[in-house]
Amino acid sequence: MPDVTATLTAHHRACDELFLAAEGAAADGIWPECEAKLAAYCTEIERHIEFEEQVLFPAFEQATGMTQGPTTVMREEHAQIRELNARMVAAAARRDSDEFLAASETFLVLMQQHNLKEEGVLYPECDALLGPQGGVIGEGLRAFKAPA
Amino acid sequence: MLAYHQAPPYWAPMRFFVTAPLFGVLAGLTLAIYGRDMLAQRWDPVTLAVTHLLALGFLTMTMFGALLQLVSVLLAVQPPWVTRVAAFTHAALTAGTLALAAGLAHDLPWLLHAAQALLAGAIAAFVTSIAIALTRSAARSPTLRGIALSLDALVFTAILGLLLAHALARGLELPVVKLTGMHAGWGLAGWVFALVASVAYQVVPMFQFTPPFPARLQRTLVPGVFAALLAWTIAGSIDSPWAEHLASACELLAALALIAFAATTFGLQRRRRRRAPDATLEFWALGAASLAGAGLASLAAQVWQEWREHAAYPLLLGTLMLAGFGMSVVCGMLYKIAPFLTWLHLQRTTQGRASSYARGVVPDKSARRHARVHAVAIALLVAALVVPVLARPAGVLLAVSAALLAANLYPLVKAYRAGQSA
Repeated sequence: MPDVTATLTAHHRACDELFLAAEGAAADGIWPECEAKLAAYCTEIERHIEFEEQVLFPAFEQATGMTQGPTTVMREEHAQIRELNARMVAAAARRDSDEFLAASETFLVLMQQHNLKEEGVLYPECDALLGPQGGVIGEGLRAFKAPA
Repeated sequence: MLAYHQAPPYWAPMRFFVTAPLFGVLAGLTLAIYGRDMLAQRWDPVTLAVTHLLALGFLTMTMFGALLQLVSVLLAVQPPWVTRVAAFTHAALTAGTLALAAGLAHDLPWLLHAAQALLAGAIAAFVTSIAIALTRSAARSPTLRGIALSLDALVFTAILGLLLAHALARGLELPVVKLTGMHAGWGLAGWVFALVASVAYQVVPMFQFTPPFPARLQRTLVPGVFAALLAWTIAGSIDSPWAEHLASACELLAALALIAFAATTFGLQRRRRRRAPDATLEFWALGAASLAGAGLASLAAQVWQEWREHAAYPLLLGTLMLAGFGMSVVCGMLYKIAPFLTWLHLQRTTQGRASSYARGVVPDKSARRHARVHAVAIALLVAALVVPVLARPAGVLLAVSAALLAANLYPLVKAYRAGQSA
């Protein structure tokens, strides 16, 4: 069974692809495509964030007893990611490509360094701590639905 | 990689980033004012001054700032005394570079002595702080190893520079031509190129959405260049025909390393996953093209004796490596790092209030306009090597390019200050 690192890293890449497609469409001024890709991306990233905050992080916090550690930083960055996503959705609705691309510049750097920390440090730590249970938890992402 | 929690205070890296463009402007204006035939030969005092304004005032300046940030985050520990080291290094590097440039241009021994003390102090303090951070951390990667090697090269470049300044100020009998060649070789290949390549393994995939650099290249490129430089230096100190052949073989290896890195960078850029236009991508393409040009010029010198002895050869290498490769990739990186750092620190101080966000951004259009101006500046600088009358317009354009960088970066600082006082 693939572990936490494999499952969640693969989902990061899938989210990246959706976002980059939305951004490319915004750069070309093809707004319906941009909005469609952006909506698909937002659904997936919400699912990802909710899964981490509701399922994975509590398991990590329980196993380590750390509630003020790396998961706190990740939650803060999730809030920043959500804020930038909302700005890009608004910019796409207004067909404002300057605003969209300005927000996406910041967003991409934020997301890249966020992913780097999760994929390089947090997920491997989850796998080391949780053992085979980590695989079961990671597998849960597939069926996980973000609360509306 | 630029995480807030491990990151040094805003001004630790930013003070370097906002100073560098001023040195770029100064270098361009010096060239524009003294212009005429100064690009005709490398020993012209003003040529030496402009070279150091770029190498120390622009490149070493930004690379010090970027290293403070990058090392903090890659090691997850801050270099010791980061705030004080940043303030002292920045002040000493700024004053030392100005003293060196003025001392070289006007042949003033007392200024050269001041420059020696200031630059030695700046480099010693900086390298010590980073070296302590590197030895304290268990983290290892090709990037960290490459950073360590490039800092060794910087120290060696500085020692040779101190010797040369001493020879100039005191009129000592030293093999100046040979030592200058080594000083330039270690500075350009060992410090500038090795550091940029090592850092590229992290920042190119991350900022440009390319695949990673091949693992074998990451492991061998910088150590290979370093080994070639060592062998080249030893061979250069021995007077014998076989030593000359060895030195030439080392130069060939270094030239191939530059070309390999440039070609790999182009290849990765072609496979990038992001479609939107991006100034950083253009700056890195410009840098890679200049680097390939420098590699080819050096390759040609190994097979073509006349070119090897031509006055334009070392000047072309210097122009392509400093203004072409170094300045371009540094600008490309600054356009990612500086806005993000500003945004990150503003987020913290304004608790993410909405107004903070839009101001922490450099419009990609202005950054791409800068890339195009810089490309023309490089082309004119190279052309001026054969058509001396072009030296002045090339200087003007270099100054304009650096001024555009300032015009794009300074609003970030203004936004940060506004956020602090809000």
